[in-house]
Amino acid sequence: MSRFPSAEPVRSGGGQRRLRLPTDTRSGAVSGPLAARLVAYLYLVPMVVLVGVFLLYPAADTVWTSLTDSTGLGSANFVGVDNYVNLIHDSAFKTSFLNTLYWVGGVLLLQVGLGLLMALVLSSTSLGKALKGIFYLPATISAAATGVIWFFVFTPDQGILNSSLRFVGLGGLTHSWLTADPPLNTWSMIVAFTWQGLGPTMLLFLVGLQSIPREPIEAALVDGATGFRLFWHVTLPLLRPMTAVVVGISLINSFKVFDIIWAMTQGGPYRSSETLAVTMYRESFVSFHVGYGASVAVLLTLIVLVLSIFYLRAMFRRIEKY
Amino acid sequence: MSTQITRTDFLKLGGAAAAAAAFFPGNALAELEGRSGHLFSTAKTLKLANDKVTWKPWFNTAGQDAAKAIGVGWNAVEYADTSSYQAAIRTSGRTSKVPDLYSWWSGWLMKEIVDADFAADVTSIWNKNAAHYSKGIRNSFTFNGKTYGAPLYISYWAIIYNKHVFKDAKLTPPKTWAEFTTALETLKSNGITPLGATIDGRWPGFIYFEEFVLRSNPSLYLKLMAGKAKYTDAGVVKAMNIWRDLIEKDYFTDPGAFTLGTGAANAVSYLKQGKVAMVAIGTWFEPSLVGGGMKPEVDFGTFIMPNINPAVPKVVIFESGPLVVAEHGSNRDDAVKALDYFMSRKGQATWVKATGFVSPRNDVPSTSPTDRALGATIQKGGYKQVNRYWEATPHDIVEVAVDQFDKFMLKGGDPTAYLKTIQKQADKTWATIKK
Amino acid sequence: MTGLTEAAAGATFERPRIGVVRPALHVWALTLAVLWLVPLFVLVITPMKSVPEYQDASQWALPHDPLELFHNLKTAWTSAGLGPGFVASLTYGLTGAALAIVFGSLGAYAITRLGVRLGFFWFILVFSGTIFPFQMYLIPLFTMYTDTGLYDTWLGMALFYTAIAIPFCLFVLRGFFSTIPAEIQDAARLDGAGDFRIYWRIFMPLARGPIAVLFLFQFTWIWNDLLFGLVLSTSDGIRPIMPSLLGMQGVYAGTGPPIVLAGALIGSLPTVILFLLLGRYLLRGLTLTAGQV
Repeated sequence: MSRFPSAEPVRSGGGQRRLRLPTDTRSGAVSGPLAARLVAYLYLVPMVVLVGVFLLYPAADTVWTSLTDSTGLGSANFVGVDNYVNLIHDSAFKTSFLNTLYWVGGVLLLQVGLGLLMALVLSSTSLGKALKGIFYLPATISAAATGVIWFFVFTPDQGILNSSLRFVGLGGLTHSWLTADPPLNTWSMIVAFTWQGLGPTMLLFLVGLQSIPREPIEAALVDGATGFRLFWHVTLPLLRPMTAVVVGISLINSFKVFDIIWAMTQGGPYRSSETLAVTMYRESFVSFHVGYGASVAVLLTLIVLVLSIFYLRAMFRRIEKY
Repeated sequence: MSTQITRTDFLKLGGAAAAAAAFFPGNALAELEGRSGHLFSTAKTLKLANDKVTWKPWFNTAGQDAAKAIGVGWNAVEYADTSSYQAAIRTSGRTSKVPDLYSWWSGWLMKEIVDADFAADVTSIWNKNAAHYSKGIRNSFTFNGKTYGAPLYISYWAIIYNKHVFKDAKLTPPKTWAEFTTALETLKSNGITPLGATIDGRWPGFIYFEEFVLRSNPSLYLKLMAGKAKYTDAGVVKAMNIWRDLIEKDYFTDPGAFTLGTGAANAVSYLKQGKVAMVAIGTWFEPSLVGGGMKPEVDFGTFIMPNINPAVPKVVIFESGPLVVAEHGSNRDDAVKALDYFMSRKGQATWVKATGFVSPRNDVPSTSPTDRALGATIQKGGYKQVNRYWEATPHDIVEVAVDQFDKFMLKGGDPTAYLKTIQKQADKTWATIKK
Repeated sequence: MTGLTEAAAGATFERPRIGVVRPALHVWALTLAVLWLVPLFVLVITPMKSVPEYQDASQWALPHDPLELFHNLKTAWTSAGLGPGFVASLTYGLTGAALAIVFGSLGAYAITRLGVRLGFFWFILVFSGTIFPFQMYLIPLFTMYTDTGLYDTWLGMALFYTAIAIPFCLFVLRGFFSTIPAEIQDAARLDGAGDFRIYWRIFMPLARGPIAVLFLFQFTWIWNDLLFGLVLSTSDGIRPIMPSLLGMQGVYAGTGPPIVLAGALIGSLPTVILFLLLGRYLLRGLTLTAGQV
């Protein structure tokens, strides 16, 4: 791409400046690679300092806190892995972990699965353009506001869901959605979350569908493939890169859900709808079992990190393919 | 009388102060005042932090009155979320950034901040006013012989009932347990939900628990609070089964649907419409009923739930939160003065007038006829005052207990499993306390 | 937005597959779209009712007096610090997004163009800020803030929001900058421009598109934040809008659904408007995320 044989895009780390011309001294830059590199580091300083102080240091410190019995009031004593051991025996933690799995499953099924379905549907009708906006609009409001809105959709007596059910004669199906036996209360919240999150996943799939090369499709059509077979054997594999992205992002996000749960039930009633993210907050900032809460955070992070590694590997594999 | 200020002098001084205040940016003015006390002729204004958002105008009215009376007043700083509020006080408590005055909870929650040296010792103020405050209240603010904080409010827990509904059903406030259960059945057969129950906000789970245990066996209740009895003891199980029986007879609202303040906030409207006849709640709920259009003693009244066991002494549950002076606050001494005024008859009278609450001072009558009636009942009947569950027992136990009570209210069934879970936590907590 | 349907070869390769059930698909899509609108209906209609009206009438009933909306909006604005929270979030969003873009672009430029050693290491270091669930930051941040007096201050909130917005900005701009042809930089240098001049006068204007997307994304993220606002601040005017919104639901708040939903409306409008204005950059933005690595 370049006219200058010695010029290469700087991808790998290290090395000299690509091109140095005598007129460099006009900018005031001192000649000599060391000085130039030092100046270059200055560019990095603001972002590294901010991220280091406000993100990386706290992350490391949380690991330390998880090994203490801190309560936020007095001093913290080192207790080793006690917190982690107690976690495994804590029934609230078990419920929390189970709910987190429901969230993961729910998000994959509803947001990703339904998102793909809707993308297929919309890409094949002329309505697609208009309806896209409707599905994406909820994604522009916050999770907290979504939680508040759906809280009122779900309220047992005045909420619109139960009112509508009663109106059409299905009064027997009414529930106290957010205080119902788990996991119904969790699933109710997952529906609210899907309302908000379907738009972006659907849009991503639409982009993916758009960028599928035509030749394999045409070839398969020539071979007589139609309908579901066409979709399953040709379209879906071609969509795999985008699917990997969507699944990866949704998966990681489903572990971190907090806002919408806190807005709707605060993890209740009786802690039955807590997920790991909510448990961490409750233990640290409501019950002030700060060390214990930190251990939940670390555990959550480990799970997310492991998943992220798998996701990144899948992504990098995609580059090698294309 | 050279100390008297003439009117013109006062106006001149006031004018100068106003002009000066207009020049200085707000922060700087506060800074100056903070350092020198009375730089201008304006009174000292302290910060009073609390998590009771709707009380803000009342706090400010009382604060302005105090400023006029003793030269030290306050402004309310509101925190809308109880957990963040607690976190804020816990973390700022040992620094000078702590608010000068702040509201808190009595009993075990207060013990935490007293132990952490966050509260100023105000025993002297209590001694001064000893004749006017009940011992029960004083005890809930006393630790190791010293008393901290002034009672910000005292609420009694009673049954608030819709008078019209009762009249239509030809009922009068029950005086015995048998009358009470008859009333429940009568209301039910008239198509009215007798008792309001809620889990709105998590904490209300303990309301009926404490009532039923206390009214079966007060000394068992007190022992339970102190860790000298167990949740799995026969007396407690029996009280829970009485509760279970009432739930199974369908006397309660759906706790998930009946809400006090959050969500649909339908408690007031249901009571007003007569869909629900009674609710066990603190008298602090009355302003909400008044705000919803109900008149005290005309539309609603109160009575104390009759004892389940007629042989035990008469008891009433009270709830009292302190107003605490921050020990490390930068205006500690002024704050103590403010507290002193707050506990005085004048201070309480202003507070009661603004809020409509009951005053813990026995010589300051409430402005609400319902509260006056209730107060008279308590005095004449010789009711013993017992601190409510939320403050009376260590908070770690309370947190687990309310979740279990919420679950019991929603799912019902045999209470022993729920009680076992609570006792497990109680064992853990008492073991660490007694260490 | 380019016509997705046309570009997605919609006509040619989809029709044979589903020709038979095309009308059924229309019905399905329309039904779902209508269902999707219901909560928005609740959001918009409920604040037009008065509190007693909400309790007594049906949810589907139209409001008696839609102008009640303004009364509810006003009440919501003055409850639980929602109004000050609105202003606060506005400042945090503008400042945080802008600064993060600047700092991130400086770093991206250095990594891709100035030949810093271990550029990829620095990139990963900063990018790892996004990998951790936010819960990992909460406790130490809270302690750090209370110890240093940053707790409940505008500066504290702004600093944090800037920091957390940086990694994604770095991610996008690094990718973008590395696609800028070397000729442009060399030509500029031939003209005597120094590194910073090249960055400011050439690279940044070229990156207008990604920057618009980044601004949209980061402003929206900051605006919508609940967790950090809840933990790192409490006073009216410092606390951002979402924690204030939840604060309206407290037991002592005593407000009804029309007022709380009016608050939700206030909290939602800015990001919706931003989406409507800058939405066309959105697809480009999503493509950037997806196509980045």
